Amino acid sequence: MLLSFFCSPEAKLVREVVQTICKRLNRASPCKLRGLVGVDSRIEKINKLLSIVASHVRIIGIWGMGGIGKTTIAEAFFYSISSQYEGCHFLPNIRQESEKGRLSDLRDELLSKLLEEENLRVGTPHIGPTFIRDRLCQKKVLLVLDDVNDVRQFQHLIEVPLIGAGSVVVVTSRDKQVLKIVADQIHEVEELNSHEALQLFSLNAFKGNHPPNAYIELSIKAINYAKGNPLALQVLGSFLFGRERYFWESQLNEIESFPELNIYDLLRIGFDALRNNTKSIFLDIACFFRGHQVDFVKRILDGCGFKTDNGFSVLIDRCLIKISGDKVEMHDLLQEMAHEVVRKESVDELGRQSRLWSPKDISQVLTNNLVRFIYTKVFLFICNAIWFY
Amino acid sequence: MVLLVSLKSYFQLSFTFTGFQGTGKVEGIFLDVSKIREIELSSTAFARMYNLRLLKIYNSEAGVKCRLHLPHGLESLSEELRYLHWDGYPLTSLPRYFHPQNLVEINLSSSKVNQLWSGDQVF
Repeated sequence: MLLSFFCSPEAKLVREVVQTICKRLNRASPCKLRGLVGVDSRIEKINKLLSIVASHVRIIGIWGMGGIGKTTIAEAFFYSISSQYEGCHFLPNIRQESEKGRLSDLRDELLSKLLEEENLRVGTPHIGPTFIRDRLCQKKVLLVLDDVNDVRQFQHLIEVPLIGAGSVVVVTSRDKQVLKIVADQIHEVEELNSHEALQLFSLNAFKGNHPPNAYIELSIKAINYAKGNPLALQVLGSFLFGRERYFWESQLNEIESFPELNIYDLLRIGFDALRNNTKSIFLDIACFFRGHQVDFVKRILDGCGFKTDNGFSVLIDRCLIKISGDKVEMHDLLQEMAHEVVRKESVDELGRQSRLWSPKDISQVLTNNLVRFIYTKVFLFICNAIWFY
Repeated sequence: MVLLVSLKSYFQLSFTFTGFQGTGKVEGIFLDVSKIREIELSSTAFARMYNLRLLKIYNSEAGVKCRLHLPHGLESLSEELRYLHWDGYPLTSLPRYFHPQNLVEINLSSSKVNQLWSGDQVF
């Protein structure tokens, strides 16, 4: 009796209704927007751009330097309007995934999400089956393609004529040339103004919206160095969090002594203050484990004798890494900074670097070893020759 | 005459020889083989990397074979190794002088391995 009740079409219908509503509610809830500063005004600008474009699929580019907040803005924008679309998807880190040769996987992921079908496999470079094409055409979708650095990536992922009228595609990139080709309108992300910068800095340095009176002057000094770059503000702020006044003064004086201060130097300060073990964990993640599962990375690094749990929480507190889903992630600029740190260990000889990740460098080091091997043989041979004489 | 040439190259060579000691600093190598040309490694390629903790030789493009060849086998790997991942490892067993007491994870998919070790191994 009970069983037949649960299987009846009505119960099924109710379940479907609940699921649909939950999904809509999920999309509409702005929980992700907490702790962000100055995003609302930027979203408004993007909305204005959207209203200008008349074509049936509107493509908006978001352009700006590293660490300025392109991805954050795209994400916030995505959550703010996704409930108005029939299908939506956010594809992060496209440049990096493309370097790993995963573009086709990403496209399959995108199609399965948009068509709400699991494990859709196209497999070919072009979207072949007409059935998929026909279904896509009917849908009004919202897409974010994050960090595109090559027009081909865009073309591989999506064929614009294929998606339905009224769809919106947001593309973020550091390269304006790419956006000029693919996008209808480009939004240039500006630096945070001094008011916003102070607020974001205070959120990280004092866990409040305003600095305490005794620290106002020092805070203003600090935000001037960060030049309105949100990433730098976060790293600098969380580095100074909970520290004594004299520590602030000495650190800020040190920053002042840099001849040409750039954003790398600021990020580097956050790194330099770490303990050696934590530094190693950070460098390992940057060189090898970015985008890997947290459990896996922790298991391997624990095996290396690091106190990984502690290290991870320090790195997260200092805004140097973040956990998104079950993966370890970090900002591109921080990764570049880490690579720079490793490269500087030995500029003239690659084999003296502690970590090797670029295929070109690795081949060079491994073949140099080969060269040494040959030399050793010749060397022995010469010894024999001398002995013989 | 032969001796002179030999002596001259002897000095050059011994200089080069000491110049390469530094690979002992290397702690991690992650190599995407689809991004390199074919290379042949000597059997002692990893011999001096006695601090190597993490070694991953992988293939980001399906269908590309491992381009790292070991025509003379492989003598040793660092005892410090924690993570060994080698897609298409070309040998039938692990190096003779490899004592994996620190190993946490090993992944040798599509390799030619048929016996990990001959003799005993202590973990």
